[in-house]
Amino acid sequence: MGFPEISFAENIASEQRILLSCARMDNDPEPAGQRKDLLLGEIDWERLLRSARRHGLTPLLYRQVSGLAQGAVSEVVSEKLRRAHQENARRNLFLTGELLRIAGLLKAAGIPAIPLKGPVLAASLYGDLALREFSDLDILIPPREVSRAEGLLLSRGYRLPLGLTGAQRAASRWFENHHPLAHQESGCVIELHWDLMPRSFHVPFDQKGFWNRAESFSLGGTELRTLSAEDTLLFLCVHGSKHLWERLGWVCDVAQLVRVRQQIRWDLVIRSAKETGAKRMLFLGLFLANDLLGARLPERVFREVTHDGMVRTLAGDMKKRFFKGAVGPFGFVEQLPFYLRMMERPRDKIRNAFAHALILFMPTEEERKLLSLPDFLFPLHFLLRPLRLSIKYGGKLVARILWTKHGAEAGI
Amino acid sequence: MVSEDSVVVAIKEQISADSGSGRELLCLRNGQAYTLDVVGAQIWDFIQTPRKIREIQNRILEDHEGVDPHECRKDLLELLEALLLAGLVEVSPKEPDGIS
Repeated sequence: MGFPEISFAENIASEQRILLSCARMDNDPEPAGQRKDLLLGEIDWERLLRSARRHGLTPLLYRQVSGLAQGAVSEVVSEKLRRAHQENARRNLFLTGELLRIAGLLKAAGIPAIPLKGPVLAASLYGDLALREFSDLDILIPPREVSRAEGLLLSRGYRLPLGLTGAQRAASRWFENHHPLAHQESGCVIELHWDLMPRSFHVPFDQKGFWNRAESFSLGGTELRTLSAEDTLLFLCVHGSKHLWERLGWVCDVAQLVRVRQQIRWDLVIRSAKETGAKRMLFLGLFLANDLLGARLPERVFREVTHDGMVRTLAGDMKKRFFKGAVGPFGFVEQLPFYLRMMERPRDKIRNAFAHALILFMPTEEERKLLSLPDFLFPLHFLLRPLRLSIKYGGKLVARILWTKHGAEAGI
Repeated sequence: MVSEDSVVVAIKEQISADSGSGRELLCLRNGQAYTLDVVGAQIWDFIQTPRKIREIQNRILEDHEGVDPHECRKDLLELLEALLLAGLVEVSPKEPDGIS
């Protein structure tokens, strides 16, 4: 069985090339040699550090720079990176300690919990808690346990977002897939998930199967439940697709999973993706992991992944954006055409187009800050959001039209 | 009190991460955080499985040329005492089964 790799020859800036190289955690001597040459070449370090931060790859950049001979990189750059790495290590240790404490409390209360991403991925895929960035803790719990789990966290110093009335909370529970709870003193944020995706990006995961297939993972002497390798792969690919793979760190997670968990049951993950309507998202993640970071796929999987022309087109769009050094997440309007192309089944496309449009009506914290209505007037919230958005974006549009007209008259 | 024949092992209820200039530790028993320098981090990684103190000392001398064995022993015992005091390691006077 061969391990083919798609080659790419885009003309990209050296900073982007370095990030790609640092995100490859394989031990191939050839890429390692190329990486060293790149790091010792002409580099705009400020731009590189900014880009690494944006893609969640500062720890992996540090890892490679710290392996260079002393003096190869300026003292200022090297110290900046070391400090960022140390801060990340300390924050991750603190968050991991908190995850283990909360996991213990949930277990004692008989509430099943599966930590998603964060510390478990850092430890299981990267081998060190400092090598992956995360800023909060995601915990999946069964929907029936949300109130109990919230109650438990509230009794331990966590607080829900400000001013949620009963009706607002019920609406949020229907539309969203998690609530963020922030600790009053430490600021630690726990996102309590009752579903893996929100309604605005609905993917009908086999959640029962996810719970049944969950595995055990030991961290700091505590046994945690984690998604199986196959379910983690599918979840990571759907999550990355939801965010249109705007962070290279998410592609790196997929590449590392493929590298580290060599016994992946590919038939199972592909079948599960097909049943969920997420096959194209799975293939998109695998394509990017292979193409950008050299993750090796078994030949038959590679053939299937590259067979879908839409996967190649979507990956091309994502790569173009990365190579251009695009800043910030995709906007609401930009997202939908990508989402519709990522979904293969007409029923998923229709459902998601409607659900996505609901974002225009579902009140958010912005509207709640503006005007908090009592529960019996709750339906008015659905008018408040389009009104606020019209004023915000309508005003900008009018200003732009007026400016264009004035500019044209003045000959600008 | 530890001696060269004692066996040392890190407790399970801890987590650690590379800090760039050593290792950051968090003891899950008491919630305290600790920092180890580069050599301390090497020793820490080595005692994730039970090790005789003599074995640890030999390892440091192998990895760091020109280190005086007496100084090495003194510094090692100081570090291990500090780790023991912090509750981060367990020390047993005898070899557990399976340790050579």
